[in-house]
Amino acid sequence: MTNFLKKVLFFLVPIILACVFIDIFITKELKKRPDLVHGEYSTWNDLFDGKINSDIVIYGSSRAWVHISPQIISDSLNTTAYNLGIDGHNFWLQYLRHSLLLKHNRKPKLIIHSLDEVTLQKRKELYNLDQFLPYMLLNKDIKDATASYEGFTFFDYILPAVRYYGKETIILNSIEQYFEPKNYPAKRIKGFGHGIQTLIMLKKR
Amino acid sequence: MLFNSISFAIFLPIVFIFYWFIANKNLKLQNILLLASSYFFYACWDWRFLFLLIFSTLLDYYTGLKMAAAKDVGMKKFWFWLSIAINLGFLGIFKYYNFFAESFAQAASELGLQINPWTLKVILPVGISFYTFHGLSYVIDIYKDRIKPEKNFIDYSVFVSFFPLLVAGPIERATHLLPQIQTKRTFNYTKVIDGLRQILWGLFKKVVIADGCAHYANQIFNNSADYSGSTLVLGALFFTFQIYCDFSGYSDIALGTARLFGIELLKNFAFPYFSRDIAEFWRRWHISLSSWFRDYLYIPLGGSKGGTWMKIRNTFIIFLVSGFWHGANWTFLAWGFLNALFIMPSILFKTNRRNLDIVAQGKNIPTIKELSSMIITFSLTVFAWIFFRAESIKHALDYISNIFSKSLFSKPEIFPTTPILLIIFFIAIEWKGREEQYAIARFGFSWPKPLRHAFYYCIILIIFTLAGSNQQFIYFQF
Repeated sequence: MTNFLKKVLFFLVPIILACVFIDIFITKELKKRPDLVHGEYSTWNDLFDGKINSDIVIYGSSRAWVHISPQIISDSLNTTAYNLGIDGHNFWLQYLRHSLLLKHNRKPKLIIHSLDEVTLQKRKELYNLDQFLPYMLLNKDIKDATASYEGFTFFDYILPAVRYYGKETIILNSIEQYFEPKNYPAKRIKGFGHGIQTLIMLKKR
Repeated sequence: MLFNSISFAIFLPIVFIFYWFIANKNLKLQNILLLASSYFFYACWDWRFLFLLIFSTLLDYYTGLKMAAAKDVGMKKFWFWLSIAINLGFLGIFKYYNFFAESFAQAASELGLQINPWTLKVILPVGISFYTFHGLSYVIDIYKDRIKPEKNFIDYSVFVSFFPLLVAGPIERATHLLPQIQTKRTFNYTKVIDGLRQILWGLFKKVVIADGCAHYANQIFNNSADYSGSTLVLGALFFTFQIYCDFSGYSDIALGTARLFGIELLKNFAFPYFSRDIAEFWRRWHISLSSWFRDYLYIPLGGSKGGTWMKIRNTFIIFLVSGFWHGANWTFLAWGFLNALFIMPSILFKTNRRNLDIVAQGKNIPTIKELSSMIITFSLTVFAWIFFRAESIKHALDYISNIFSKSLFSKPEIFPTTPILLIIFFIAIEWKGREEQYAIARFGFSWPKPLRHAFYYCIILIIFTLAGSNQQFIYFQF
């Protein structure tokens, strides 16, 4: 029996180590992909890396994300602005972004909150859940905000690699990023995610 | 708690360690632990139906004792029929009541009568068909004086509720499982390793092949009117591998898990898609159910001992009942009927016991004759699965008529390479291991140990990377 446990442990050690390695690898490479999950990774990266540091921040769902340009606000008011709109999500995930902003960044002077008729309606499923993958391991803030939705299990938050189980596309994307790194066009500029081309054209004019 | 969940991956080692470390020297304690963990396992799905399971166990235990103690045949018959009626009553209410009520209302509306049937708004208790059949076989065996009733309630409860087989079989017999529960079990390293290997293979079948195929089978079957004949053929093939890998994968995990506790369950599958005729297919597919129907329905009906008409009648009865056992839908009856039709030539010409051996035994490649027989049998099976998977008879007929159209020879709209390559890999491994209990039972045994371990690691990596979206085991609904 003891012999058996030793052998099982000997067999499992490489798997456990591989899980840790796979987790670090995928997480690192995935964060470099601004083209995935509607460009949410770039916003999360900025939040966690303390790169928001703006006087004005915009909260809301996709209505904020694609409607309110921080660039125009910056140019008009001669200040700094960032759009933290999160596609498909309501107050609960918007509040998560607010909490993380206060935790990792300078406090903003002004908040613009885009409200709509579903802001206080909580949805059942965790929409676009792949956006949380690189940040959620052992992260209490994300766990508290997302655990009540249908999507992740308890073990996804605490065990390495479990949340990547069966995510073929995500795994392949991170491998592709490692072996063939590309400069993917940013889907968002300062969190703003729509009409970027129009904005560039306007600026050129 | 599904076999392919993290919860089970934590539950199983805990029970295993308690079983072999703490309860190792005490058989009674081992059985109590097995029973408690089985009830916990079942309650994780829905604790309310645990009472139904316990009631069903108590009923058969008690009627078994009463039948043995009965002083006259009349009393024995009374207790026997009471048990049968209550067991089948539960099955009938939960599984078939709505079907009969709705079918009756539909038939009445055809005659111009409007009836709004009262239907039950209740989910089917998982595993009810399986544990009811456990209990039925036990009661019938006591009634026929084949076995003596079990006096130890814990032992009997473990027989009914042992968690690896509780929700989707194999359907065990008291004569096979009870003696194992009553005998002292000691830790056997080889058996435990073998069990772990079978669990690994079962997981691969379920999460990679079955769940991978399910995505495409669902897409094609749910939108069958939009696809070409060639895509529909592909859809039927995907479902064929989905259902086999789903159910046999479950059975592999169940058998492997039981082996970890020193218990051998009945083999449920024996590489059925390599069968050379339908009779052989039915000796290799869901063996525990087929043999149950053979012993408790076909033989009591007279089996093949009567004349030709009796054989035909009994064959149709057994296949129709088998189809109906799967669920309350005309599609399952049609599936059973088709299989009865397919098997009929071999029954009539007495060739049903022609292929009792393993195909191409001791050889790597089958003969042309063997290969063509396998392809024909496989094609018939695929055809029947269309009825099994379809939502209704009309859906199945439309599906088939769309297959046999001009678009049959066009390029399929859906042709996913990864699942197809995985199926080919899977067939190759199954073919290589077809003489064993399960495909990788002795796979790579002649290789150096590190290479064999590398093979297992590869399977784990494939499972991690290519696991399909989580689907419930198909047979849970039966």
